[in-house]
Amino acid sequence: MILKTHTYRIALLSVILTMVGCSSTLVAPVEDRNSLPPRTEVKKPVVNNRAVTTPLPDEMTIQPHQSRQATTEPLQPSPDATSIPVSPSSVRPDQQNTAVTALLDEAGGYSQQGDLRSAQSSLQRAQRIAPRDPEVYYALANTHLSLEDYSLAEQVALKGVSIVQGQAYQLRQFWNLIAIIRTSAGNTSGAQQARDTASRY
Amino acid sequence: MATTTKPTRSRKAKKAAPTFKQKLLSFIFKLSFAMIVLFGIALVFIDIHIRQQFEGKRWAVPTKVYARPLELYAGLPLSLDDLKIELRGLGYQFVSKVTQPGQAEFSASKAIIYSRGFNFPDGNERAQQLVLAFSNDQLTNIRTYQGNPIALVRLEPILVGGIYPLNNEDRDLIQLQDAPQELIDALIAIEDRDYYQHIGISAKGIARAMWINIKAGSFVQGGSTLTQQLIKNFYLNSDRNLARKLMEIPMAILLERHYSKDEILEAYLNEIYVGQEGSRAIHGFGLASHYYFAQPIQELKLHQVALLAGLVKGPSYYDPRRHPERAKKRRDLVLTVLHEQNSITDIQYQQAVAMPLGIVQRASLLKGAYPAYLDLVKRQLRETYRDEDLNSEGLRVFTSLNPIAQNKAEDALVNTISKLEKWHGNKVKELQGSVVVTEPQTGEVIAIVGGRQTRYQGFNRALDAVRPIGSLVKPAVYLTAIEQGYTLISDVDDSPYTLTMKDGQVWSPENFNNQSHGIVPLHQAIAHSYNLATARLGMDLGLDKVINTMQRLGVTRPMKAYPSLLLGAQGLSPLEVATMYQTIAANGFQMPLRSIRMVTDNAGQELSSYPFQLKQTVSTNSIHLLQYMMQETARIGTARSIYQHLPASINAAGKTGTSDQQRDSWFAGFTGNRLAIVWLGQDNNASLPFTGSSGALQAWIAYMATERLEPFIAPSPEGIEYLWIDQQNGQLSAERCTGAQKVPFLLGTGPTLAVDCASQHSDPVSQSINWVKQLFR
Repeated sequence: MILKTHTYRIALLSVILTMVGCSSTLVAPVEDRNSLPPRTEVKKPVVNNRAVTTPLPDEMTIQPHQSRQATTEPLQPSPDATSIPVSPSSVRPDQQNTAVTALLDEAGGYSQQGDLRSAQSSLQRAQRIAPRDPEVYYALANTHLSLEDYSLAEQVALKGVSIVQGQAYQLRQFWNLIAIIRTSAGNTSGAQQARDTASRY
Repeated sequence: MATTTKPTRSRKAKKAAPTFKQKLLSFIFKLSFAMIVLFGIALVFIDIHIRQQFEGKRWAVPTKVYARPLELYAGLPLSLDDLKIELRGLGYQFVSKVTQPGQAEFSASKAIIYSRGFNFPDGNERAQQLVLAFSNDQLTNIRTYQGNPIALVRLEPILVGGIYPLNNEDRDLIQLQDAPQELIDALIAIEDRDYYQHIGISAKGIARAMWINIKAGSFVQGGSTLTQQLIKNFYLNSDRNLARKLMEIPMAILLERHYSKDEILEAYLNEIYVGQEGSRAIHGFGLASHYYFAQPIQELKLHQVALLAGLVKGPSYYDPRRHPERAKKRRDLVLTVLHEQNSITDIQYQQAVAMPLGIVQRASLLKGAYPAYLDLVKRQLRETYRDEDLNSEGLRVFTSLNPIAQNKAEDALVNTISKLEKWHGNKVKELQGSVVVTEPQTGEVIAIVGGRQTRYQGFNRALDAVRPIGSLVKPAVYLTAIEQGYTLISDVDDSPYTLTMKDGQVWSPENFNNQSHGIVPLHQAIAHSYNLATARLGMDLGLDKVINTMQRLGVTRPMKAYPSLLLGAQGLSPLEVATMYQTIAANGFQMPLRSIRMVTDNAGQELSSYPFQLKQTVSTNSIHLLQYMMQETARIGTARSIYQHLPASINAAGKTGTSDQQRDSWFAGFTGNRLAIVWLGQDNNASLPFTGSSGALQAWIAYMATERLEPFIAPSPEGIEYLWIDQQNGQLSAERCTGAQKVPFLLGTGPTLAVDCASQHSDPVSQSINWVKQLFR
């Protein structure tokens, strides 16, 4: 279908161009803006520093060292110059910096020694540095689970869910964690719901 | 027999009738005995008292409040100028070559810092040289002096304040080994040369002092030993009288009997009075070092310690800020004495006397610089701690105050207020304002400005000015609408509205420009802040529902269900507004705004921590729709001046607010990494010549323009779909069609009818023709 459209376009275009004589410089299609009220200069959203992607089901985010390719191209460019930013279907966090990696490792070490308070402290430090790193929330939710603070563990995991929207693999991870938390808290029906949600990804 | 009894009798008679002299002697003897007993008892009491005081809690040590430590790591958004703000706050010396802790050197894109190290509750940071590389206002690389990469390192936190006891004594406790040997040498040389030989008092010392004073022709040296001076500062009030002087002697001797010279010297170093800042008494050399030089005592040089030693004699008379010449004379005298005693070499002496006093301006000391923030910290502390513990136990409070952001917020507010006053002339007098800044994802309060006099410890408008929030309430109304099934393109009616209440009162709100706009889509009504549409909508939804939404957004203040609530008659403080908008910025997770991270005792043991807490109170889907409308407000609505100054990429979301009679000018808005609430108004509630857009928003922009902003990007939740909508009739449209706007909907709630342009969708030929048409339009 797309191919077809293109074929038509190219055919049409070449006919017209031949007629025009190829003298004008071609520009990209521009839509009519006259019908819009005059507005102050407002630009298209440019997504900085942040990789915007369509969901990649097999991508592992709950794993520290991986190269993430950043693209600065907006996912859904709006034709309207007044464009209200349209949310991407998912936002991948910046490449995790070494500081966060170090703090996650440190927290992991504390957890293994059973020093959950110190683990919590390291993770909160990591959260301040990278407040949108899902891995931090995953580890923090796990720590609260170990501390048997189930309601906070669940809320932290839900916060993680809100960050990884559109990323199937991470969503599955978080919902599975929520299922475990709810099971531990004795909320069996809630746990089942979480498992069902997880299985959708 | 008779003769033998007689003398006995006569002896008895003698005893029965003692002479006056005997009586007197006996009385004196008894009195002396009684006095000795009493004195002995007194001594025992004094002795017990001294020991208790000395060994128990000797000082009421104020609570120390620290800013957040600056975390350094590759990738940190931080300019060299920002780093300098931080280092100035820490009292670093900017030098051409760093040689010791507390120094920094700068080049165009590099900084070398010799950090001092700090014992954090969760681990120690050691003092070390750090080589920092910068590029485009970002820290790109950290290495040790030897070139080894460092992943993460914390600078020591800036001490921003204290919580003092009623007598306002402030001190930083130090240990004897912290004090530079030169300071001890200088003190002993100038105040008590026989310190290590005498028993607490020194006849030799008094004699020498007299001799020196006669020789000098003036009072150069006192005869009190350091021990006596300590007693004087320690146990006795400052009245100068003979009785006190007499008490000093036995007390000094007793103190010396119980404690070593070093113990007494350490107490002296911490106790002695060395200055006064307003009502705050500066005690001890640890604090004096910060107070006069903004440096820790370990870093002081000879000329500096000589000044401190010299100050003991008369902190007010020799005050180096008020009487620099006297102070320098006194300092040079101390140096001369040290030189005469061969404690320092000729060269050391020559170099030291050639140095200026080197006293810092008060302004560079950040202690007490942020009264509004400290006010919040104190209030949060008092929920857990008693006052007497706060001002005497030497607690350490680690806060989330970000001094760099705080400085920027202060500048933005103060400059905007000045500009507005200049612009509006007589129409506005004594304009005031306040700012609250938080990190939207963690809920940490990072800056608070309580008024235009940022160092003034008075009325804290950020916490205590409860003012009508105007249109800042609207997000709660529109969120309620979304939750009750409205879509962003649902029709709302912005035509004139009058409500007659049960008591006969009539409420007829008006739009800002007194115009009505008829039927408009929901999202436009909030973006342009239409009052009539909002009033009608809110009354349809129900006041109790709107109040419930506000409560779920974090407002705890009791609210009255008056219709005027819908247009922001309800008063809130800027901090309360921050709590409310924080929930919106954090995708529907309500979190308590935190200013304190942790409280420890004076040994660094954790007493209480304030962990990250959150609770989802609004669904991710509903909040997403609200965020879209608030972003639209910033793009094309009442807050569009944002993008005349800030990059389009930040995707800010926010809401302007102007209260009734234009008494309050508000803006509440956020980017990815900063949420800021700005209020402008006058303390006497007079009307302002500007609105939320032309007032508070301008201060918000001024602040944000100085920050390294991250864009606000919320990924679209699963329950949301974006559809192309025709802006005129709200029908489905398509990307290529004129007047189409992409609008989010809860899945399945979008329109079903489509405009002609969009319905040609399936025909590739006409689609392509359209495309070509557009090409040549």
